[in-house]
Amino acid sequence: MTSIPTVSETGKNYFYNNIVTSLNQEMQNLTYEISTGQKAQTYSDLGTQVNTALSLTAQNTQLNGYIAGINDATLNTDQMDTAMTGVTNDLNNVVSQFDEVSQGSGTPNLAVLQSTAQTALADIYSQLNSTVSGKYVFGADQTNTAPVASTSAAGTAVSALTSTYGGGNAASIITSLNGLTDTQLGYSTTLAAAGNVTVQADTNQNLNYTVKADEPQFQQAITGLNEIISLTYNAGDPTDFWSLFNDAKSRLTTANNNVSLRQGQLGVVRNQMASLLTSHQSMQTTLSGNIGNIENADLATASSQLQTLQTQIQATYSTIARVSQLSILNYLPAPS
Amino acid sequence: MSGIGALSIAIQGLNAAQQQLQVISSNVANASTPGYTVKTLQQNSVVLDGSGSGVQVGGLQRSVNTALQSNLWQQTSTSGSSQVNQTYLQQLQQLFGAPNSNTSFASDLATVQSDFITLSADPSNSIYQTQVVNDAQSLTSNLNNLSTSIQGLRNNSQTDISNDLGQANQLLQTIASLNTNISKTGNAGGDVTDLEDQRDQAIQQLSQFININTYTNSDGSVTVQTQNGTLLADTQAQTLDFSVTPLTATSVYPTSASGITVNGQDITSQITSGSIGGLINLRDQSLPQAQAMIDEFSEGLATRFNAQGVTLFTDPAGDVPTDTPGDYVGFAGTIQVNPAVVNNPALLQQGTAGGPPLAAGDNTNIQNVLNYAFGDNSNAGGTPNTPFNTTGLGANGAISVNLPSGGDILDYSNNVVATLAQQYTQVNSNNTYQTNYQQTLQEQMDNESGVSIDTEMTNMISIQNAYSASARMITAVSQMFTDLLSAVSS
Repeated sequence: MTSIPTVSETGKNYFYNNIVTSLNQEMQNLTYEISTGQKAQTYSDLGTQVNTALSLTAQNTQLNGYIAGINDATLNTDQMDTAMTGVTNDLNNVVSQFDEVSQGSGTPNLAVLQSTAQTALADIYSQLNSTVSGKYVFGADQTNTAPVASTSAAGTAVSALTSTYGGGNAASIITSLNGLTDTQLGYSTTLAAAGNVTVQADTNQNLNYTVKADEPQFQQAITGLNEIISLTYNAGDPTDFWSLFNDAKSRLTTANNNVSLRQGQLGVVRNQMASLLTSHQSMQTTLSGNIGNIENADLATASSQLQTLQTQIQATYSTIARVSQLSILNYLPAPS
Repeated sequence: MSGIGALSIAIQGLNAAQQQLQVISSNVANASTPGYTVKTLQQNSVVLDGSGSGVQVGGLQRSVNTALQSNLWQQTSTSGSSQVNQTYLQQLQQLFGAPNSNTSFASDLATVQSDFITLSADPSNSIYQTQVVNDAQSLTSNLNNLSTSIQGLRNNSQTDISNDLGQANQLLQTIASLNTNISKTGNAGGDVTDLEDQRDQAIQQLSQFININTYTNSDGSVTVQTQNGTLLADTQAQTLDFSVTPLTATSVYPTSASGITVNGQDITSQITSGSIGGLINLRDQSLPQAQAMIDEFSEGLATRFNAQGVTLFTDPAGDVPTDTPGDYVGFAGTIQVNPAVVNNPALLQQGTAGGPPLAAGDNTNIQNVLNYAFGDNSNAGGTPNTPFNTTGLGANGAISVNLPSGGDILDYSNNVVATLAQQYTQVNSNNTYQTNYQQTLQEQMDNESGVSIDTEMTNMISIQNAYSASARMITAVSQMFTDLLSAVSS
């Protein structure tokens, strides 16, 4: 026969007390989940998912940095793109005016062409010195220094050469024009050695979006525009004149093509930035969802558990009350 | 057997029943008294010349399962230790904040990294630079507070040790006093069962504070000693001494943190459980280990930034500690953002090592910080990052941590938070188990030794019947005498 252990009064009280304490603790935990929407009050409440939660949160924060960096760089590249569009429009206007000048006998009418070139030159200088939040976008890493230090230096240097044409020296002048230095063209003294501008767009992915004001296409544009502006027709040396005239046209056409090409290259970087930005934003949404799955309480489940627990507690209290009434004293006759 | 003999036996039966009722009455009255064990009165038949001649009652007996009692006391110590561990490490957990609040130092470091990424796009942007400095200050402030709180918990543990020792000393006095009374009363042939109940309860209360060994002496007294045999109480109580000295991160037992002594003998190492054992472990092991983790993190952080020419973090003297574990104990409590950088955030871009000025858009130093200070590769000069120390930590060089020595600084910070969280989870789970086990033993002990009203009432009915039967015996013998006298006189 199996013996049934005796249950003492203190044993019963201890047992009931432990059960009620345990149920109340569970009730408190569920109430916290429902009232805050959070599963965890501390990292330890996340159990085995604590490493994952920390790692996901760190990734999310890191993405904030990439997104802010890309947004910052995008402001610069947007400005650079706009400026380069302005430069190509300027050059297009000038190049189209070349065809309006008759290269037949007689003195050509350069007035309109030269006026258009003056306007274009002023605008290109302005575009090359354009800024975002006070930072020069075509200055590479010399963002505090205007890349074009002088808007008159190039004109002086070029006219000093073109004013000497005659006697078949056009080729020599063209060679000299090709050899003009940054300083002679009016660029800042630090621009030549300036380093790249980059943005850390992702882990181990640095995007270089440098476009410098002294790159060949811009030098050609400045030289070509000053060349045409400085030319004066000399009836004694028409051959040299037209050589320089056509050289200027050629320079500006090449410059225009190369600015467009460079703008395209910048466009590739801009697309990379835009693509990474979208990817990071999408990743943040995913990460936030995953973090929420770990840290947020499932309110439907918690509410259902709370209801079950309430029933359990009521049943426990009811059982305790009934068991307390089960005493032999209730069945013994009172002493007479 | 004569009628007189039967009458005598019946009277003995009445007396025995009355004494049994007295015991039942006492049992019922103490049914809810903590520590009271159910008493039974021994009852034997009297045999003279081979034939039964009555009943006699012996001494009172307690219902105590000594093996179970010993297990319960041992488990009470284990549970006492696990409870203080749980309480303290829960407080340590709370220092890291709720996960969704992102207030841990690991979150702060991730924010600083994010700031550097943003700064790399516009290195001379003073707003971005100031943001880095502000968030770096939040990080150092978080570490300083964490370190202060850990040392605060160590100091609290000492206050609790002192308070618990006060109670333990009182209990030792109580046990010694009860032992003396038990010995004297027992020798005089008196009932000692209630005194034994009180003493056993005092011993159980003592085992909540400190792990003990006990054995019962021939005079009924119990000798209480440490697990290594140092006497704590028999009929004389020893006094446990402890002095509370303010602790800093560099304070270490036994040189600069006190131990627990009895008559000048250091018994600290013998106290391995009970709340005092748990508190000693917290003061000398668990909390210094947590301190060592954040010190190692702080030193690694300062060293790795310094190696990139951007000394963003220093000690109050403006220096970066050397990578010798003993040299940076408590560094987490004093780490700060380099005042030179606070005064001139542009140094983040220019670097703190001097040299020719960099162009405004030059992000070389910032990229080095991102690639190498935050990375786990060699620095720009080819020097690999110093691995994280995992052994020889703490003021006594005896602390080791279960963290990887490799990896980047962000992983390390996450690992520190996760390791301490998992450590607490284990401690909490262990505490639940130990407490449940202790409760099971206590319940078993209560059921085996406590009073069951139902049993006592059943016994009462049985004794009532025995009393009635004895009374009937007297009536019957009386009737027999009456009948006999009537027969003689007629």
